[in-house]
Amino acid sequence: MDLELTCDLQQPTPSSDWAYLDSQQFREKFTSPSEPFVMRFYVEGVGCSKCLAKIENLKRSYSQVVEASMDMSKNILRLKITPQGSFAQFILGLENLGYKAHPISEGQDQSKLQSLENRKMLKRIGVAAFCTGNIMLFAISSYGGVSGLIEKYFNWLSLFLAIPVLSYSATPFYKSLWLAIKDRRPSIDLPIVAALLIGFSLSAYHTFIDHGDVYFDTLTTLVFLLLSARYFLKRIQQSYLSSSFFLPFLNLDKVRIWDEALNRFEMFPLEKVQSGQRLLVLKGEKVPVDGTALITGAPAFINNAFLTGESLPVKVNAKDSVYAGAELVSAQLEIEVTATGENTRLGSLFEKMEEEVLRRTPLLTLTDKLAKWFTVTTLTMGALFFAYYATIDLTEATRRSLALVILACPCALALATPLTQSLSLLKAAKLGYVIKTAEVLEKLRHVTQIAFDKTGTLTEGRFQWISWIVREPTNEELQLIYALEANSHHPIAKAYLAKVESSNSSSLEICDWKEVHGRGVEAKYQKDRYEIHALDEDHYDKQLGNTTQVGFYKNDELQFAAAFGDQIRSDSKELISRLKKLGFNIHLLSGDSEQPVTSVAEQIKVPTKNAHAQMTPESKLEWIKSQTPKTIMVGDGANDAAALAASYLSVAVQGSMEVSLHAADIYLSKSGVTPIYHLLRLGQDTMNVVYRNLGFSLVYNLVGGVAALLGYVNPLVAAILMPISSLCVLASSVWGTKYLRRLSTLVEGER
Amino acid sequence: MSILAIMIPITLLLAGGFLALFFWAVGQGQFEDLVTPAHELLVEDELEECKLNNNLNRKHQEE
Amino acid sequence: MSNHSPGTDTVTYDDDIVKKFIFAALLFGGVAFLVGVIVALQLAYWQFNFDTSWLTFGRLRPLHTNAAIFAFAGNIVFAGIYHSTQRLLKARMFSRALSCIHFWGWQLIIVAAAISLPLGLTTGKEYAELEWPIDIAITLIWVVFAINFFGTLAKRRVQHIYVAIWFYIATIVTVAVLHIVNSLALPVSMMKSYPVFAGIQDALVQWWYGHNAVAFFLTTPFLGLMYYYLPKAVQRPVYSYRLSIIHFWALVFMYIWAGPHHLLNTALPDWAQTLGMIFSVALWAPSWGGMINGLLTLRGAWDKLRTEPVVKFFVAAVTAYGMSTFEGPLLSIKSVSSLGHYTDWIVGHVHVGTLGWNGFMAFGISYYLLPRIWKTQLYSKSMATAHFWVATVGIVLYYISMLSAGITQGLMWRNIDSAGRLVYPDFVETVTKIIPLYQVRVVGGTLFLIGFLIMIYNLFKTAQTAAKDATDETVQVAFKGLPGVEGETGHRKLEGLVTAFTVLTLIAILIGSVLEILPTLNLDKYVAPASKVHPFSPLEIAGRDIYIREGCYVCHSQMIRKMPSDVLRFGEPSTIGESMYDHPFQWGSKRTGPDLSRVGKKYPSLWHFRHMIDPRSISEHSVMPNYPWLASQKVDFYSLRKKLSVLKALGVPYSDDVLGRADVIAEEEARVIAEELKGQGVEGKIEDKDIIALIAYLQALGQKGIKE
Repeated sequence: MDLELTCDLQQPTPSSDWAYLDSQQFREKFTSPSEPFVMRFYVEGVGCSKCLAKIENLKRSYSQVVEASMDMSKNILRLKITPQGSFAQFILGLENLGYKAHPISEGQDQSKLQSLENRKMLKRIGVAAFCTGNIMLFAISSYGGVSGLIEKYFNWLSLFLAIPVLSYSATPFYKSLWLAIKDRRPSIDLPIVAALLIGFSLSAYHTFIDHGDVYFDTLTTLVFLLLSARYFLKRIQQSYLSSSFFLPFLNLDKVRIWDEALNRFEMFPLEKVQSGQRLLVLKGEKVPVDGTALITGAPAFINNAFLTGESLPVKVNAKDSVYAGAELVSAQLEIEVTATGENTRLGSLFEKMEEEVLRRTPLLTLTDKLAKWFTVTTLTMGALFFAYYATIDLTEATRRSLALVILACPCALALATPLTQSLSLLKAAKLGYVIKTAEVLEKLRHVTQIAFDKTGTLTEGRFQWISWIVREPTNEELQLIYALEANSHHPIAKAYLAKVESSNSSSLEICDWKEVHGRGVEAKYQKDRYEIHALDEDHYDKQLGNTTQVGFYKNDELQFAAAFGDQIRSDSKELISRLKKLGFNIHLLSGDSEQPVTSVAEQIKVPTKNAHAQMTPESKLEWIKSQTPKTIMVGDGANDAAALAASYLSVAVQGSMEVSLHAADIYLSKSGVTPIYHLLRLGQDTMNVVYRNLGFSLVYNLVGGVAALLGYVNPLVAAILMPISSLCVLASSVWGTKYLRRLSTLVEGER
Repeated sequence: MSILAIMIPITLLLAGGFLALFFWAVGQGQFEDLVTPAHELLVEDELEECKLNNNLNRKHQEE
Repeated sequence: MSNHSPGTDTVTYDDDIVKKFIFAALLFGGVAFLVGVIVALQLAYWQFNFDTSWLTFGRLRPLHTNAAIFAFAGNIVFAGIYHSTQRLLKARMFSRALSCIHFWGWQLIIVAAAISLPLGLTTGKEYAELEWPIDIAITLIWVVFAINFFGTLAKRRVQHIYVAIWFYIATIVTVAVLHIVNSLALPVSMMKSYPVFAGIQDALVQWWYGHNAVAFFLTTPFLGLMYYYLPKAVQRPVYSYRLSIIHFWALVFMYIWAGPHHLLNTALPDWAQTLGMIFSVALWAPSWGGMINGLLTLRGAWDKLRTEPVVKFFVAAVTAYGMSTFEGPLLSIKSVSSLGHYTDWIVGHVHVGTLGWNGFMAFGISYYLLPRIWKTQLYSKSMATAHFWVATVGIVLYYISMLSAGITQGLMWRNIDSAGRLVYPDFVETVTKIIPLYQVRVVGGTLFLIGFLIMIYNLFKTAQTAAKDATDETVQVAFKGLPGVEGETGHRKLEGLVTAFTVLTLIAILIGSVLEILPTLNLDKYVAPASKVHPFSPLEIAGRDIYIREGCYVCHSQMIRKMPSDVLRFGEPSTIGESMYDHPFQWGSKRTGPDLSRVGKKYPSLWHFRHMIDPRSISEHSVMPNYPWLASQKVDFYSLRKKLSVLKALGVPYSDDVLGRADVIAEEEARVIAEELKGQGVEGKIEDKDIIALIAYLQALGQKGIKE
C-alpha cells in the first residue's frame, strides 16, 4: 500500500565526476553553517532493505564517513563525514553500486518547509482527534439516553473539549476565510466557518441554560475529518506537483564549470550553476545557460534552430550573447553565465507556460464560478429554510439547516477539476509532451480527424542513401555535396552527409549559401550555381519505387541524383489502424512528391484520397481552413506554423520549441504516431475523470441536500459524509483511470 | 455511577498523556519518514567476533 | 567503548535476560496448560476436584488464568520486549541490575500467586485476584521494568522509534494505571483486603480494568511483538508502515472505553451499555487494520508459510487475532450478549484469543528466538510442524465445543413456551446437556498441552546443540539520524529519565487524587431511599468471605438481567442498590451453576448444608465439587471486628456498637442457625464452622432490601 518501491539500479556513466562535491566553493553553498560536514542528496533507485544494507556496507568500508541515513519516503540521503573525509568518494561508491545521487542545497530545498507545515497540521489533527474521541464518549451516552446530572456534566465536559478544537485546530479555516474576505471573494470555507461558529454558540448557550440539543460532537468531527482530508490532499500535492518542466526537458545533468582552486574546468551539476561562473561547451553539445561569449581566438558557430527555427549556423564573437538551447557547431565555446534555469530565455518561456497552463480554460472558469455560486446558494437556502421552518419547529429547523450547510460541498468543482488536470499535465510533461494550456485537454475530446505530416512523424525521418541515379558523382561533386549540405539540418541533408563523409571529403570555399525550407539548398562555387533539391517528375526513376529522389543541379541542369529511403516507423501501421478503429479520419499532408506519399499511404492503410502530396506551407493552410471536422494537425513547428495555428488543435514535432509553441498547442520532443495516440487518450480520460467527479458531486449534493432539508440527515452524519465525499472525489482524481495509471509504464515500455 | 467522577478524569489524563506523547513525536519528526523504518528492520547489524572469552566479554559492554 | 569508525559503536545486547524470560514463560506455560486441562476435567467430571480444598475448581481457575496471563504471556512478552527493544533502539538494556530484579521479582510474584490462590487467599476480582502485598510487589516490579525500558529508550542510537516500541510504551503506561486503580483496597490483614469500590462502581472499574488488561497486556504488547518478529521471520517489511502507526494511535484512544461491554443487560444504566457497545464495535476497525497489515506482510513470501513452522504459528496467530476481534464486537451487541453472556461461548471466545493469538505468538517467538540465542538450528522442523497441527486441532476442538455449549445453554435458558413458562426450569438440565461438549473440550485442551510438550522436547534437543560458549551478541551499529550524537548521550539520558519520571509522577498524581476522592464515595447520601439496602450482618460477612475464598463467584452470578427468561428463572431483576455495599461486587461473569441473587430464604438451611457437603445428594447431575471441609473448618470470628471496621471506613454504614461486638453478634447468629440444623438431624458441633457462616450469607442474598 505504501509507495510501490522498486530497486532501480543504473549503470554508472563513465564521464561522471564528483570531485566538485569536495571543492570549497561548492561546500560553502551546499552545506549549512551549523553542520559543515553534512550534505543531503536525492538518490534514485533505493527500494528495499537490501539497498539499505548495501549503503550500510558501503559506509562501513569508508572510515571517514560518519553517517549515511536514507529516507526512502523522500529519497533523500543524509551524508555526514569527518573533517578529513570526502563526499565525492562515497557518492562515487554509491554510483558504482548503481544508485544515482544529486546533491540538494539547503536553501533551495522545499522539503524542509513542507515538513514544518505538515507537522503543524499533524498537531492540529492530533488535538482534534483526542477531543473528538472523548466528546464522542459523551455524545453517544446522550444518544444512549443519559439524563440528569450526568448529562449536564457530560455537556460541560464536551464544551471544554470543543474549545481547543475550535480555537486551535480550526484556525486554517478561519485564516483562509479571512483572506477571502479581504479580497472580497466568496470562499468554500464560508459555510464551514459559519457552521462552526453558529453551531458552537448555540450549543454553548444550550449548555448554559441546561436545555436543548448540543452539537459539539458534530462540529469537532467536522473539523477532524476535514483537516485529515486536507492533510491527505497536501501530501499528494507535495509528492506529485513539486517539479517544474524546465530541467527535465533540457535533459542535461552536468556541465563544465571553471574551478579557480583547481585551475581547470570541472564537472558541475547544472541545477547549481550560478551567474558569473565560467562554463565550457564542446562541439555538438547544447548550451545550457544564457551567457556572453568569451572568445579569444577563432569565432565560434552556434545553431539556434531550437529557439529560432533557423538552421543556419550563427557566428559568435566576443561578448555576443548566446542562449540556452543553442547547439554548438564549432569546436568549443567558453561563456560567462548571465542567466540560469527559469531566468533563461528558454526557461522563461516555460515559466510563462506554467503560469498560463491552468488559467483561462473554459471549463475551469465555469467550475470556479459554479463553486462560488454554489456556496452562496447553499447558505441562502439554509437561511431561507431556517426562517420558514423556525416558525414551525425551532429545534428541527436548526438541526436541518445546520445539516444542509455542513453537508453541501463544492469539492468536485473547487478542488478536483484543477487537481485532475494538473496531474494529467504533469504526467504529460514527464513524458516529454509539452501541453500549452489545460484547455487543450478539454479540446482533445472533440477531435475527429487527424492530419499527419509525413516526414518524421509517420516515417523515421532518417533517410539513408540507397543509390545514385543517372550517374555517380565526381570527387569534386562529392565535396560540393558535402559543402552544401553541411549546414542543413534537414534529414535528407544528414543522410547525404553520412554518405559523402565516408568518401573522405574536405570542405570547399562556397559562398551565398542558401537553404530554401522544404525545397533544398543552393550555393555558388567558382562562378557556378549549384542546387540540391527534390527531383522533378520527369526524371523520377520509378523503378526505385517509394524513395525520395534528390537531384544535383549545376546552373539549373540536372547532373545526377541520389535516392534516399525513409523507413516508415514500426508503430505507424498499427497505431494508424487503432486510431481508425477509434473513429478518427486520417489525412496525410506532405511536401514530398506523389510517389513516396502514396506509397507511405498504402503501407499504413490511409485511403489514397486522404494522401495529399506536394503541399507547400500555404496549401497546407488552405486545406486546414477548408476542413469542417475538428482536426488535430501534426507537423513541423517552423514550416507548418500557419497551418498549425489555424487548426482546431495542433501538435508540433521537432523544430524550434519557442516558435512551435506560438503556433501549436502541443510540442512533442518525441516523434512518431504513438505520442499522438497517447495524447488523445490522455485528453479523453482526463475529461472522463472530471465528468465523473462532477457527476458524483451533483448527485451527492442534490440527494444529500434534499435529505437534509427533509430531516433525514442528522448534523453529525452530515459532518461525516461531507469530508468523505471530498475524499472520494480527490481519490477519484488521483486514481484516474486504468489507462492514466499505466501511462508512464506504457510509454517507458515503448522506448 | 459516581465512579465516573474518577474514571473520566483518569481516562482523560491518560489520553491526554498520550496526546502529549503524540505532540512530542511530531516535534521530533517521528512521522516524517514512514517508509524507511519498515525496511531498516530487515538490515542485520554486523556481528563483531569477540576474540576474548566469556569472562572478559563484560569489558566489552558499553556504559 | 570502542569505535571502529566514527558514527559507529559497538553494542553488546543482553540476551541472557531474554533466555531467562523465555524459560520462565515455557515453564509456567506448562503449568498454566496443565492446570487448564485439570479444570477442564473438573467441569466434565466433578470427581477431579478430589474433595480437596486447594484443588477445587473455584480455587484452581484463578490459578489457571493468572498463570496463563501473567506467568506465561507475561514472561514471553518480557522476553520479546527485551530482545526486540535492544535491537530496535540499537542499545543494550539500561541496567543489568534492574533487568535481574525485574526477572526474579516477577517470578517471585508468580510463585506467591501459585501458593496464595489455591489457599483461597484472593480478592475475588477476576484477573486481579492477587492480594494486596502481591499487588504492591507487582507495582514495584512494574516500575523497575518501566525505568529499565525508558532508560534504554533514552540511550537509543536511532532517531526513529519503530512502531513496536510505541506499543510497548502504551502497554507499560496503561497497565500501570489500570493495575493501580483496580487494585485500590484497604487491607484487613496480611493477605486479606477489601476493594475501595463496591457494587456498580466496582463493576465498572473491574471491567474497565478487565477489558483493558486484555487490551494492554494481551494485545498491545503482542501487536508490538508481531510488528517486529513477523517481518523478521519472513524477511519482508511490514505491508504498510503508515497503517501500523495509524493502527496504534487509533487503538490507544479507543480501547479504553470498551469495558462496559462486559456488563450488558445488567443493572448498569442503559446509556453506559450503549456506550460500551458502540465503542466495542468501533474497535473492530483498528484491530482488523492490524491483522490485515500483518497478513499482507507475507505478500510475495507465502511459500514460507509452507516451509517454516515459525511462519505458520505467526500467521495462525494473526488470523486468530482477527477472529477474536471480530467476535468480540459481535458479542458486544446487546442482543448477541443477551444470548452469550454467562455461557461458555465467552470462554470459547477468550481461548481463541489466548491460545490462538497469544499462545501461537509465544510459540512462534520461542521457536524463532531460542535457536538464535543458542547460535544453532532448531532440532526438528517437522516436530515443530507437528506441534502446530496438534495445537491447531486442539484449539478448533476447544472453540467449537465451547461455542456449541454456549449457544445451546443460552438458548435453553431463554426458551419460553407459548404459555410463558420456562421450558427448562431446572438449571441442571442445561448443564447436563453440555457435559459431552465439556469432554470434547478436555480433548482439545489436552491436544494443546501435548503440542506444547512436543515443543519442549524439541527445544530441549535444540539446547543440546547450543554453542558451548554462546555469548551475548555483540554488533557494530551505526547512528541513525540523531544530531550531534557521538559521545553526547548525556542529553538523551536525561530525556529518558525525564520520561520515566513523568510516568512515575503521573502514577503518583493518580494515587493522590484517588485517595482524596475516596471520601466522596459515600454514596448512601445520594441514593434514593427506595433502593436502599441493609448491609450484611457480621456472620454474613464471614460467610461472604468464605464464598469469595472458595471461588463460588467463578461459577455463580449474582445479577438477574432485565430479560424475561432471567426473571422467570431467578426473580426480579437486580437493582444497583442491592449491591451497593458489596466490596468487591459479586455480579459474576459465568453461570456454570445458577444465579444466586435471590436464593435467600428460597431453601431451608438444611438444604444448603447437604448441598455444600455433597451437591449430588440434592441434585443428582450437579457438577459442583464437594465441600466437606466447610463442616470442619472453624470460622475466624474475632477478625470480624477488623473486617467490619475496614468496611465502615469504605462507607458501609455499620454502627459503632456492631463494630465493637462483631464477633459476639456473629457467634449469636451462628448459634441460631446451628440450633435449627441440629433440630433437623445434623450432628456434631457446627456453630463455629465455616458452613454456618456460608449458609447465613446465602440466606441473606436478596433479602437485604429495606421495606418501607
